[in-house]
This record gives sequence, C-alpha cells and structure tokens, in this order.
Amino acid sequence: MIPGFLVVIITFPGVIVHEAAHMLFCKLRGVAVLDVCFFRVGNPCGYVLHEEIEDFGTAFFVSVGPFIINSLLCILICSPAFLPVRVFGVNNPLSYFLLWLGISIGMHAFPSTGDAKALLYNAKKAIASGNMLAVVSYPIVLLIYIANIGSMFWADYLYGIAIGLGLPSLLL
Amino acid sequence: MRNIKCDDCGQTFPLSETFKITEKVSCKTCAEKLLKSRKDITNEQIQRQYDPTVCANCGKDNGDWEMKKMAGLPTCEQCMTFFRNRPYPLWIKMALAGLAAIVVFSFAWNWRFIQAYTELRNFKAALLARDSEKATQSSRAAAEKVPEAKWLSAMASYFEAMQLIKEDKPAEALKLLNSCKADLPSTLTADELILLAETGVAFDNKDYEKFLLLAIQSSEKHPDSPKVLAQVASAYACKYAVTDDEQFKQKSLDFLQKARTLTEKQGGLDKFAEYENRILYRIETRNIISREEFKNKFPNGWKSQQKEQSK
Repeated sequence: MIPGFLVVIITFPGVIVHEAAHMLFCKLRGVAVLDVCFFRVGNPCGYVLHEEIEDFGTAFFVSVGPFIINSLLCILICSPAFLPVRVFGVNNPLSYFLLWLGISIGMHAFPSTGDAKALLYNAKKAIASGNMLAVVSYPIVLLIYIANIGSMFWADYLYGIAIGLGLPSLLL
Repeated sequence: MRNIKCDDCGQTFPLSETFKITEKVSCKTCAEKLLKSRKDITNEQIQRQYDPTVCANCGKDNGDWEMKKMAGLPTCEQCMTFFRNRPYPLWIKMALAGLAAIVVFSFAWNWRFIQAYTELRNFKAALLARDSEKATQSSRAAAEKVPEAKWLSAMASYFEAMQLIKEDKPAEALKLLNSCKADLPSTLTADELILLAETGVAFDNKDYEKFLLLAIQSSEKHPDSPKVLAQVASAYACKYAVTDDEQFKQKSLDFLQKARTLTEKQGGLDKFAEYENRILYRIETRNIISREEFKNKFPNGWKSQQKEQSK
C-alpha cells in the first residue's frame, strides 16, 4: 500500500484543480469564499470554506464542480498524448508528462466525502420543496461515497486512466 | 464599537475581545486563567464574542451601526465584496496559463500524429473499398509522418510489397518483405507474401524447379484457391516447356482443370481465363514469356493453332 499523503504529493496538480474548481463554481454563483487552501500535506489536502448556500442548484454545482472541471481537463490534457502513446506506441517525455498531469487531475475528480455531506445536507432541505435536482442528488451522494471507498482500491486512479485514455479509445 | 464588562475582573473591554465561557463574560486574561483552573470546561462551552458593529475579518469599526452578517459574522462591505469575488492567487493564474500553453504546444508538437492517424483512417477505408493502391499510399504517408513507429513503416512496406507482386515485381517485393517482417504488427504475417514473392522470383530467374516446388507448397496451404492451383499448373507448364516431358503437361492440364472448376464455383472467371490462356499458350508453344510480354504480344488473347486446325 502506498501512503495516502504520498499519492497526494505525486498527484498534487489534481488537488489544486479540485479546489480551484470548487472556488470557480462559488465565484460563478456568487457564493462568498471565506478561506481557501489549494494544497497542503494533511487531511484534508485542500479545502474551500464558503458561506452557507441557500439555493440547492448552487450547492449542487459547488459540490460536483470538481467532477466536471477535473474530468474535462483530464481529457483535454491527455488527448495530445493519446495518439503517440496508445496508437503509435511512440514514447517521449512530453507525452508521459501530459499523461501524469492529466491522470493526476482526473483522479481527483471525485467529490470528497465532505462534499457529499454538504450536498446531502442541502438536498435534505431542498427535497421538502419538491426540488427534482435534490431527488437526483441522492444517488449521486451514494455514488460519491462508493467512489471514495473505491479510492482505497485505486478507483480514482482507474477513473483518471479511463477518461484520459479509455474515452479517446472509444471515440476514435 | 461596543464595550462590555468582564464578569471576573470587572474591567471594560471591546466586545470583540471577550469570550463567553459557561454563560460568563471573560476578558482574554481572565479566560486563560479560568481555563487553566477548570479542566471540566468543554470547547462547546467557550464562545468568542463578536461585536455586530466591528468587522470580524478586518476589525473595521462601524460606530453604533450594526454591520451586515456573512456566514453569521459581522462583515464590512469591503470584506464582503472581497469574499464574494475572491481572486485566484497569481500562482494559480500563472499555472493555468502554463497548462493552457502546454496543451496548445503539445497539440502543435504532436500534429504529425493527428495527420498520421488521418492517413491510417484513409488506409482502412481504402482497404474496405479494396483500393490497394490508395491503401498503400496512405500507409506510406502515415509511416512518413511517424518514422519512430517501426510497425507503421513495416506495414507500409508490406502493402507496397503486395502492390509490387501485383505489378509482377517479385524481387523488389521480396526485398521489402524481408526488411519489414520483424517489425510487422501481430495482425499481419509476411510468410504468405514471402512465399508468393519467392515463387515469382523463381519464375523470373527461370528456376522452374524451385518455381514448381514453391507453387506446390502454396497449394498445400491453400488447396481451395483457384489462383494457387493455377500457379501450380503454370509451374508444370514451365517444366513441360523446358523438358518436353509429357507427364508435366498432363499435370499442368489437370491442375488447370481443378482451378477452372473451383473458379466456376467461386466466381472471377474473367481474370482466370486470362491466366489460363497464358498457361495453355505455354503448353502448346513451349514458349515461356512473362505476363507483360504476353499482353503485348496478344492484346486480344491468344488463340490455339490446334483449335484453328481442328476447325
């Protein structure tokens, strides 16, 4: 087993992008960001402290923002390396750098259990008013918890590889 | 700013500099003393007091006016604007710009791989359309874009060799095949083509013994291929032409008949008829000429003199 802090250090770009994505959605939705830490060696390895969000749609996007941004960036960064490495078998340092960067970012796409808790807290409040997004978010919360358990078995790493290298394979 | 009296020492302090511990107001000094002497006090029983007229973030005093709250804390307008529009640190912006630059550079740097991939797609489409000339061109174009991929160059050579065999240039094809066979992708094997090229080379070198041997070898691998059986007939016809041994003539005619029967079942009689015509010419005249020479000599096909006579 590789210690978690070592994985976090090796894949630090993903942590930074994850927190930057939370902050981006806060900014887009006008949520006050009280404090932010983009990376540190500790638990949590990064955080965005924001004011309490009243609107569930905003809470939803702030929570799952990293999933969207990290996944898209992973695909974008891995794509120039995909053809040389996977199709032509040409290995060069630039391609491997891109794959490290892309997969590091992709494997931090999963929202944390903290994000899931925040989402669940807001969903419980919103569901009373019949918010359909709140209803949909319940299975998403479950998926986030499963993904976080799976991370102990490299599910996050596999996800990074799947979208960075697997997805272009399916599309091409 | 609002002031409050410490319940322990009785002195007055700014409200935001005091604590509420077990419902009693304490200044900082008294609070520290109290916490040292009372170990039973939990964190939940200790509250920092906030002055609603002083910004909890920057300490700005609003006189007697209470400030708006953000996250439950009094916050001045300036701090509120900052929190709502907190800028990304410069290093994050720089890193993002660097990332974008790397991605753009990588796409530009690896453009030749995209071009090679496009050529590979053209190659596959040409293969499906049975356009071997275009397939050969596309595979070579792809290989030129990515010279490091030896398998790609080998594949291009393979299809070029196939084209050369079609053009009756087996020696050149054989040279290409021998140079590329080690690097070919697992989906392609050069053995079949090498055998075909070697057969052609043997014919060109007038080594009819070897020509026959290789043709029989091919026919053992592909007993249902009319083309291969016709090749055996061609080889026997050559042997007959040079030896005048009737048994070779008979074997040639037997194989030709087998090839014709199979062609009638499988189709493609036009191409077969041309090959058959050349073999029959060889048997009747005992003159061995290449396909090219035959085409030039008999552009409308050769007609048997014996048939003419029998008519």
